[in-house]
Amino acid sequence: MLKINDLSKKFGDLQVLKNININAESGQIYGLVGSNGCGKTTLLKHIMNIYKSDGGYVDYDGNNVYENMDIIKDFYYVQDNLYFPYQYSLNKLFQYEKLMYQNISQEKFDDLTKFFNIDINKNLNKMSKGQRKQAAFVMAISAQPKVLLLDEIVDGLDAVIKRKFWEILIKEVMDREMTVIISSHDLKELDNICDKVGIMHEGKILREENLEKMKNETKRVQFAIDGEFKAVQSKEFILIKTVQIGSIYICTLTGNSKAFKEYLQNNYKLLLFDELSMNLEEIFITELGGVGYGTEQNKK
Amino acid sequence: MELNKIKSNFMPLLMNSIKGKRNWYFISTIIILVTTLLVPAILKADAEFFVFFGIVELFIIVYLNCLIDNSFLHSDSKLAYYLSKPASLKKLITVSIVSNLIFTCFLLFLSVISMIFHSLPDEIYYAYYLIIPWLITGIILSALSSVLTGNTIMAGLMTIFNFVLPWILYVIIMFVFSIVENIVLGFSADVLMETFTSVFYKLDYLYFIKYVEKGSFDIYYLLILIVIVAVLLFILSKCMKRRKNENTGNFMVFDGYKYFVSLLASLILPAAFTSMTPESGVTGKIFISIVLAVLSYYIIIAVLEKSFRISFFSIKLFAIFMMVFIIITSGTVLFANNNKNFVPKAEDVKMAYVGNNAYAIRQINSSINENKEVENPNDMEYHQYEKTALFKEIENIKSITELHKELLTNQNYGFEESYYSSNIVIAYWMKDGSYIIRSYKLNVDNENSDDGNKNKDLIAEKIINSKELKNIQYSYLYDENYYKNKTFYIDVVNNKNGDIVVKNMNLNNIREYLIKDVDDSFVKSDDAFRTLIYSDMFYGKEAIEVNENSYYLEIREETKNGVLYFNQIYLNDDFKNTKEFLNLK
Repeated sequence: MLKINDLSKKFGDLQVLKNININAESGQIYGLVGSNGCGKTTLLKHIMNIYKSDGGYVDYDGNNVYENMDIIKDFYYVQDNLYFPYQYSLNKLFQYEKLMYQNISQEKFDDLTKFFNIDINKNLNKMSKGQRKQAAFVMAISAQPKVLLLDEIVDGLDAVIKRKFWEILIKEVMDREMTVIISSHDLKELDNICDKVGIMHEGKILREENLEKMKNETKRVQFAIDGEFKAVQSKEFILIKTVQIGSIYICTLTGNSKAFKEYLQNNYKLLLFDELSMNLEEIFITELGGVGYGTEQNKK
Repeated sequence: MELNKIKSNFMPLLMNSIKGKRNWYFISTIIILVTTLLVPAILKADAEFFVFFGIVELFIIVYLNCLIDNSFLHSDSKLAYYLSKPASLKKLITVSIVSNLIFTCFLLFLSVISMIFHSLPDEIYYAYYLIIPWLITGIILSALSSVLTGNTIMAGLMTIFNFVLPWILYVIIMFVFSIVENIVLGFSADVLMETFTSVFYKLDYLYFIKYVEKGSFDIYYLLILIVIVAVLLFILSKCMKRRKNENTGNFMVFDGYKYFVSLLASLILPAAFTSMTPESGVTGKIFISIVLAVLSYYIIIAVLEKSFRISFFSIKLFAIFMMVFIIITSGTVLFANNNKNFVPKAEDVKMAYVGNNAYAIRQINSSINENKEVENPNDMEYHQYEKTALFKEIENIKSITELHKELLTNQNYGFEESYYSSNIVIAYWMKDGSYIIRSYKLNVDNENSDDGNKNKDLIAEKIINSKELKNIQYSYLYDENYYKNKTFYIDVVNNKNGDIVVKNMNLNNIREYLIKDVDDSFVKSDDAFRTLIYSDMFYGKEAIEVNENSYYLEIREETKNGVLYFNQIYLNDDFKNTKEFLNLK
């Protein structure tokens, strides 16, 4: 299990990470989502100890990663802004990384290059962005790490390749109990594969939960009543956001939606009440809206 | 077991790095062999020059390789890639250092092959006493500079900065001493620096220049090299641990190092300025130095921070640094001021010098320091030819202390000014082993210097007519021990047309007449003091009128290694007996 405890970091006067706490179980795909510039990449670099934290630590299976850097041999990090050594082909890169990753699998490498149809002798720096992402992904999976950190890995990939990526990733997680942390802005993609999600904003984790539980806890209802609805507070539910479109009200709430329905029945003449399903993107917007992000009004 | 496996990837990584350099090995081999072997062999040009040119190329190739190998530290994506692998930064840098050391050995081997091919003299190989440590420290410094900076060009500049850092400190110390020289009478920045570098700050050893001069190396050579390498590796290791990788892309990764460089660099310009304008007044110099220091600091900080808005912290740091600098300078000035009027008692002095040849005195003193005890310094090779007189007789030492006291109260002396003649050096080697040296600049005031001239001339006259000085100046006439194993020949030359009227006459034939003439000569000069400080203007040294009847002697010592030019005596009116013997008018 990968655990991040109270991780903090300042860049000069700017607090970029504030007491970050994350728990990613083995065999789990953890989605790290957040607003632009919230510190996702910085957090991943801290996990790899590329950046040194001001406070807090990263723990893997009970061992402090910062105190025992040999643990890092089980980690693999694919960064957003990919780099490959000068004039290296994928084959040459594999030979190079073979010097460092003891569990790297030639068989897996051969299978994956065929699966993604990559020319292993082509100069990596002459490949397209999508091909480079595939090459990096092939290397990451071939290295057979216990913890895989993927930063915007599907950014710029077509739907077919994305599907291939998830297929391989899920298989690896299931076969080898690998822990995966994916940072991405493509929430629809994450919605389909993540077990757990951490929502980041301005260097803080706003919410961390199993995706299913998160979906169950945050609900959206649409209703129509006779008269004007006035926002209310209750022990059983919390209204996060209410929008009126014509005579229909759409409310986002946490807590018990049945209790909210009962409240409406008791206080208004309820004409319509439907419970809508929430996806990750909606939960994300709701959570960030709760801290004022994206709620600014255009004055024009 | 698994851990050991990971640790053992050093050798494979090293091999991979060496393999990655195969193009460099190939192209460098061609460059070095063409420059050092082929070009001089085909063009029949000066092989020595081309071999040294090849060594300069070698330095450039190694320097570029180091910067390229460590450039992964200067790009966010490169750094993230390498640091995310199971090879620590320490291991990556070590691989780079070792790989470049091996590459350097290969290039050095090529240069040695060229030297052997051209059969260059053994002395040329002494240069390796310096080249090898410079390359080793250069490779480590390049790694260190790359760790300290966040940009490859800056890493290159800082490698040079760090390499010359001891010289930068030298320039700053010299700056402090030049302020002392300007404020305190009798202190010379050159002399102070010479003493400082010979006693404490031995740059010639630090840069291994001394071993090239010596042409040999000893245990200290290895010891110095080991200490330098150990210190650099220690600093490198500390910096690697503390590197702020998030600052990659900035000019400097460490704020502390940024300020260290800025503060030191801010003093270089004022130091250079003061050394270029030795004649200007002290107040103006200090004012301009402060202005230049502030300006330099601001510009350097603005460049390094890529902003013209300087932070309050930077200003505070500069103010503290300048305070410390002023305190150190003031302390040095105060210390010097307390000693400026000190003139030793003649009885306590073992040996004394007065003249204008500060360089010769520094050379003699460093010889004395190195040999610990010199029986007769006047016999030392250096001033056999320069005839720098070191006085041991109490009367002359007393005269020198009197002259010293006179100079402390009155620096006026009227004569035609020249740079050399207006600087006076007085040096004492004390019986307790200590050494005192003072330097005075004469105020050359022809109109108001009668008193100054009179006293100085009277004291100088006593010294220049002393038997001791004659003995020193003409050791081949007076010193039998010196003379007995040597052979001297004399040519008598016409002063107008250069015709040799007598050739290769043995000194034995004329020696007694010369002794008699020098014995009888007495310089009663109105400018005895000037004669004294021009140590080569004694008896028979002053140029005589150029006409058909004027002659001079060229005295040569013949040694196993051939004929050695030794001395020249103008036959003026004092040399009556000599001229009579030679049948000269």
